[in-house]
Amino acid sequence: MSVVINAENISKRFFLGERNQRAFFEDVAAKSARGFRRLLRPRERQKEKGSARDFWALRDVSFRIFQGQTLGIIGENGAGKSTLLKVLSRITQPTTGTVKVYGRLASLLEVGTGFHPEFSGRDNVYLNGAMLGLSRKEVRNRFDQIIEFSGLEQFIDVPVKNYSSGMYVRLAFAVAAHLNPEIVILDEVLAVGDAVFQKKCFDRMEEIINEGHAAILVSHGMGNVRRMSQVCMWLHHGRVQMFGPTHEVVSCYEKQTTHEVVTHYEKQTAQQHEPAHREVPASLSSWFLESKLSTNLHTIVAGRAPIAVHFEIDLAVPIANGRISVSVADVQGLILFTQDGALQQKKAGKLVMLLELPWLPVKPGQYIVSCTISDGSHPVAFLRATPELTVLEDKSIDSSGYRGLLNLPARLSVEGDHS
Amino acid sequence: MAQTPGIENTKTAVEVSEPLSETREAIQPKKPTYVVEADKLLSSNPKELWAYRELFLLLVKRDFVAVYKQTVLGPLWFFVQPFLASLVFMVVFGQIARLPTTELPPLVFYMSGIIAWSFFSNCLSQVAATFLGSGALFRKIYFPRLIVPISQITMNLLNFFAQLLVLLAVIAFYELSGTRIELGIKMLALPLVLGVMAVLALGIGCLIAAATVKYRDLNIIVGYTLNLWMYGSLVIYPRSAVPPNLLWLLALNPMASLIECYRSSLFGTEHTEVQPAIIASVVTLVVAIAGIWCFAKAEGTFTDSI
Repeated sequence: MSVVINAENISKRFFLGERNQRAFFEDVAAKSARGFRRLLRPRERQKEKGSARDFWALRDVSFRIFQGQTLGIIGENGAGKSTLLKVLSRITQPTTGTVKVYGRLASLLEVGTGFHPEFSGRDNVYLNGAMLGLSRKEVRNRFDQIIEFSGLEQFIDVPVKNYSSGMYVRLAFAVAAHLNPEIVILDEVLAVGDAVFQKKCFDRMEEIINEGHAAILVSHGMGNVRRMSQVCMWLHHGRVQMFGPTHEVVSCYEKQTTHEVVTHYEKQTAQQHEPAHREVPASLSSWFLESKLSTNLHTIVAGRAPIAVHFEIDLAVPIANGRISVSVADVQGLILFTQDGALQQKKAGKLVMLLELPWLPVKPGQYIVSCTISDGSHPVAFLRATPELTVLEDKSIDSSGYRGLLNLPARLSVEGDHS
Repeated sequence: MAQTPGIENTKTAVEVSEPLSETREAIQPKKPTYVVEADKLLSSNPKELWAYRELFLLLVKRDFVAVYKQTVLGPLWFFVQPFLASLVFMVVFGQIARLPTTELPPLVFYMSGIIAWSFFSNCLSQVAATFLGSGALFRKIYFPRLIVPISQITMNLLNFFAQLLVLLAVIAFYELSGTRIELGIKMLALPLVLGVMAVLALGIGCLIAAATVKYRDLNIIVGYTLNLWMYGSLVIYPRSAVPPNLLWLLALNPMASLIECYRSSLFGTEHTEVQPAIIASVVTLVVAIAGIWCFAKAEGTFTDSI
């Protein structure tokens, strides 16, 4: 196992703001002032002053990738992920720091760039290959594979200006996928083409990774990151928030985003549903769960045992003919199930609620539990249970091959041919 | 942010991965394929340019196809253009202003000047527009950026030779109708002269391209300046027509000498002045080095501002 990418202290500064006459004169003034100062005191090294219009997209990012490893890069929009990839693939220079790359690096950032509309598909394969650093011979050797992969045999001599956008992307991806680079960069390109082609892309990606190449995967889909990468880097405002084994980093990241999603959701609901008077009609004072599997009040181990969830709600106003519902959602806000019931309270005050489940058929992770109270026609309160519900992995069961959202008691039997 | 559950875990996670990487560090691989550094010049490396030679050929082909496929007149336009311009010059400068054209027939004199000048000015303006024109591509794929200007110059060279054929046809026509036009062995020096012109255009173009990264309006000035520049570059009159008190101005213009060299290598009617030619070559060399250096400096960060 050897290093394929070694990045040290990369920072990248952008200049925000317009380039106009004022900026020009400011530039000239600053440069000449610096020049004069240097003339007067040549020994003194001037420290570059930070300007308010500077924006640091990356700050002291260091990491290493080894052969055969896939690094996932996660982070919200504007965290610096794309800038980092651009630095790695030599599109832009860092403001400070060094990156050493060992081996051919191919970036599938933007497939199909550099295609020329007047050229036929065939010519564009060669042009694109050359841009990505392949020799004519290398492209020729892979040409059949590329065409077969793209599924465009009969259109290959047609100018690409006559291609549909789907065909265009397929051809582009086919070229990129057959570069045989030592390091691949993937930036959300997995979502190209129709379902069949997507599947093909996925398989090809896994093949590339299995061939022992290193890969960098940038994605907002935590599923892809978990599935394909072993190490993960979480960028936040241009800095490395966390770097380590994927499952740890991703679960921390998910916790964080859960928090943000919920805050946002609460704000929205509040704006939509709150009546003119600001009085909060209800609040959730506490919640806990009871089960053989629970390790504390808000945590259980994944498994099959009945669960009772208790809620304590303070009602500020009487609700005569209302409804109350409990829902469980995953961190992306996808509601897994909802159960509702009647709410008839002639008086304001405390009330307790009990939700019974035969078992909770979900995979390990963080879940948002919430209650919605309506007065019969409109929702009047949205109550989120804090802290979140955590489902832990059952360590006694091997769940390494586990995928998906649900954890159902299914059985799989395989029978051979006995005849 | 402060209550991020991940923050405490950050430390533990880093601790997990660190011992791993230290044991791995012992096995260091060979030389890196490439290094990205803060102040490194990116494509100034001739080895890398050579590695991308196939891209260069394909880009030339691409531009060639683009020019010759898209328009109705297509390649014909290339031949008509200098011809028409020469006719206009013949009337304006030859008949009205009565500028001398040495012993050459005016059509041949003007046409030879125009094709050389348009070679130079096209090279320069296209190179100057490199970052603005190919910005979208540069933002997505890395290859030595210098490939683009070099391929554009090559493309213009091809066009020049096509136009030269038209000029030769015109000369043949004059020969047939009895006018003697001398084409000497000096013609062999033509590629050298064109090469110097190309390098000068590359140098100035690169300087402007690097500057357009910050100041876009420069590109508008280019076309305008090139138009004016032609009048001072011996395109429409020979050196012998210039009054002696203005000769020093000609010496400042490397293109004046280069056009003179060019025409004297084609025809025996003019002679190369040695001193201006040396000055022009030195200026070309200095400008080219400065231009390529600035270009290499700009290509690392241009995506940030355009």
